[in-house]
Amino acid sequence: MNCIEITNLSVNYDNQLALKNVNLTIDSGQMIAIIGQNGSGKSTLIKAILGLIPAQFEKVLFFGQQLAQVRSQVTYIPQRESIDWDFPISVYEVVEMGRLNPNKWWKKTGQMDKQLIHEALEKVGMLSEASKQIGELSGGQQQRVFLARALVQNTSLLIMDEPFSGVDIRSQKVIFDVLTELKNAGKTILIVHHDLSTVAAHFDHVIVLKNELLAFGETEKVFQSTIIEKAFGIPLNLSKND
Amino acid sequence: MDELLLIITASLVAIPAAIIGVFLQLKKSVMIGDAISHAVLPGIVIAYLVAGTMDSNVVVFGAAIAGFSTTLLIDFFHTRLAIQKDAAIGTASTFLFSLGVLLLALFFGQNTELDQECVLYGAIETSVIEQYVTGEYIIGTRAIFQLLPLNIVVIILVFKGLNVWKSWLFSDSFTTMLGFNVSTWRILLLLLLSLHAVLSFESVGAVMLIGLLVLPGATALLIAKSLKSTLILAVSVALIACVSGVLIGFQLNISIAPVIILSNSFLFLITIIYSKKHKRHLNFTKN
Amino acid sequence: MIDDLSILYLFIGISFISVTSGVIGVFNFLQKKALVGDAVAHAVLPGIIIAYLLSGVRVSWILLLGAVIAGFLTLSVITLLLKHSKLKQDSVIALVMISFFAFGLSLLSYVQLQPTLSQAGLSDFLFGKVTSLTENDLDLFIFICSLLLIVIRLFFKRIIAIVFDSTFMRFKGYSMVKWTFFLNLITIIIVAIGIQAVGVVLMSALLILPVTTAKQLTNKRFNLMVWTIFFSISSAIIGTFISLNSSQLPTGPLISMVLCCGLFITVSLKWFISKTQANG
Repeated sequence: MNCIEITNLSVNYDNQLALKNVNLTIDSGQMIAIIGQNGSGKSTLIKAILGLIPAQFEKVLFFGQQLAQVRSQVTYIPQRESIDWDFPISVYEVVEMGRLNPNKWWKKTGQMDKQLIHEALEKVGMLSEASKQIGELSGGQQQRVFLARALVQNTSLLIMDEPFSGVDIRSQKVIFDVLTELKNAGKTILIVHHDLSTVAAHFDHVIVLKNELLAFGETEKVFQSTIIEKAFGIPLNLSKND
Repeated sequence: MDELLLIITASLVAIPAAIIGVFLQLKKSVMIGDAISHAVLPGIVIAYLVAGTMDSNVVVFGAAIAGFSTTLLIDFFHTRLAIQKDAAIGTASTFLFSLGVLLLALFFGQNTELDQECVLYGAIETSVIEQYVTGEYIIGTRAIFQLLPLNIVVIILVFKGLNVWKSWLFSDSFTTMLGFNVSTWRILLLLLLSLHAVLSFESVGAVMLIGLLVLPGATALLIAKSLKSTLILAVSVALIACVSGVLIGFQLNISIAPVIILSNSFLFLITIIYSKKHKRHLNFTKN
Repeated sequence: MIDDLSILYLFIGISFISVTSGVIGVFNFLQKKALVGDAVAHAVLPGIIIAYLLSGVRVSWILLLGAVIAGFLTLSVITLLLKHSKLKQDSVIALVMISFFAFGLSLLSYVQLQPTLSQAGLSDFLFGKVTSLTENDLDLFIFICSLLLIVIRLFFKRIIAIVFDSTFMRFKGYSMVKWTFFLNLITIIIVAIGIQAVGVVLMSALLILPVTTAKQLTNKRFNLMVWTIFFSISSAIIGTFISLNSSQLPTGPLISMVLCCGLFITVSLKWFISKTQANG
């Protein structure tokens, strides 16, 4: 089944074209990287399809429906910079947010919810830190907490914006392990990615952007020096130290 | 007896202010709060002109909506006229506030109950005049009975919806993704704030309100680690400040509202010194 | 009694104050610090009252000194709190401002209780009253404003460069500490003067509204300055004129209302012209 279907999507920022005529159809059960230079419209693309910034398009469908109908099947982990780390909130409470129900705002967290939160924290290895304030964690640990929040939502589609920037090796491994497990369970994972050296090992599809869609397809077909050079202006092998 | 009534009135002003103030600070909208608390003034003056009193609920809501419309004016300045945010806020609140002061001076002159100094720090002292009495017992004042429903609504809304408020304050985009309409929650908060600004106007005026909004929350945020403890601490700080403010103001025979703010400032000062020392101590034990 | 000559002098004095505020407001505006002037204006109140209590006389330069000291204290406390706590900038500005202001109001409330002190008309500082200014006050204000304007003219290019791109100027070896101090100093001085005419509550209008209006008309630096000065002078004169003719209206709100009308007229004219041009 088509997980995401985008037809003719364009985004303008301050009268400048950030994205032009993007057409994409993404199948379910894949792990896809969105790559491109800074300012190539990577974050813009996902924010636009999620309705977080204004955009013009003919069609943006998730599982064949409008986002509003399938919200409970989609989750999003924002970029680190957009978060206020001084906010008085514990690790547990961040994950708890994933269990909020928009139709019952007054509802307290139930027993089943607590069970799910517990399991998710355990899976990302953050159970022992559950009562800490979110700002007391390292960058990698924070990212794992946000992954746990996405896990308790139990969605079919997971969208992440630069989840590996400022993340230590151990956290990176934990996150990739959990994501691979999700993918094997049939979920779709869409990630804005900046580290080209890990693309080939972990992602089966790649989207290359440069304010328009340069290429989209299986990693081994798309991830070639000609396309990368066109997107980044440099040959592939030089970009390892990104 | 008067002291007790004043402490109750002050607390009923300070409790919702502390709660709303915590939210404003975490949402980085303190200046919008300041603008709204200034901007209810023309609404209140017009309400007095038309109805002669603030007793009627219609008048209260009318003035509150007028205060809330500041946010629309700010949005208009910011988005349509492309005025940068800080200047847009300053312009909108300056405009409405000076309009209010001028109306006041034009129609009420210098020496009425609604005078210009009342705009600055209210006249909580006069609230004890209008007492409600059953039999031999004083059961409250008009101010208390006006503020009580607002307190109940704010407390219920906050504690019933605490998890949603938390999520909304922490991240707009995530809360939207969950399927909540974030602008509804924002409008709800700002409406409660304008309602509060109108109802507390007679007690603390339009200018002092920002102190009651910001100080207790700022004190709490220095030490609290969760939203719930922030709220509880902020309310406690506000209550202590009300009690000491009323007693000291009474003792020295000076305006009470500024003294309540000063008590809050004092508590903030103590807390920041304490938290600095405490943190240093913690760092030592870690090393 | 006010005669015609001293009224003319009053207009000149107010114009000087308002032009200097408008010009300094441009720097605050470009640094996105429009609300700092407001905070300083509220916070200097205790300085004025303490200066009065200590000296026992209402003399402009003493009150001015008190205000400048209080202004510096305010900005230092704000900087200190931003450095030593995790609180956000707008919270810190608001809480420092209101604490100082509440302190000032408490002092004022105390002063008004004392029969010997209450005649000074210190409450004129809240909303402003041009008619309470004496010729000596105006001499002092015009002198300081001229001084400020000359200094600004001398350093104009550098100030603008710093306000636009502080990183670049730091790179070029300018000391940001010194220049921030200088910009703060001129803001505090003009606020300390301005509040004696328009009051603490609406002083910020004199700083931000002229440049906000001018920005609607132009993006060029030179034109921006010219328009700012134009709006400052015209609204100060109109506001003062109305204030002299109706004694119960406070000057501060009047001038700020005139400035707001200026903004609205400018915006509507701009809209109207763009509309007719689009049609024709």
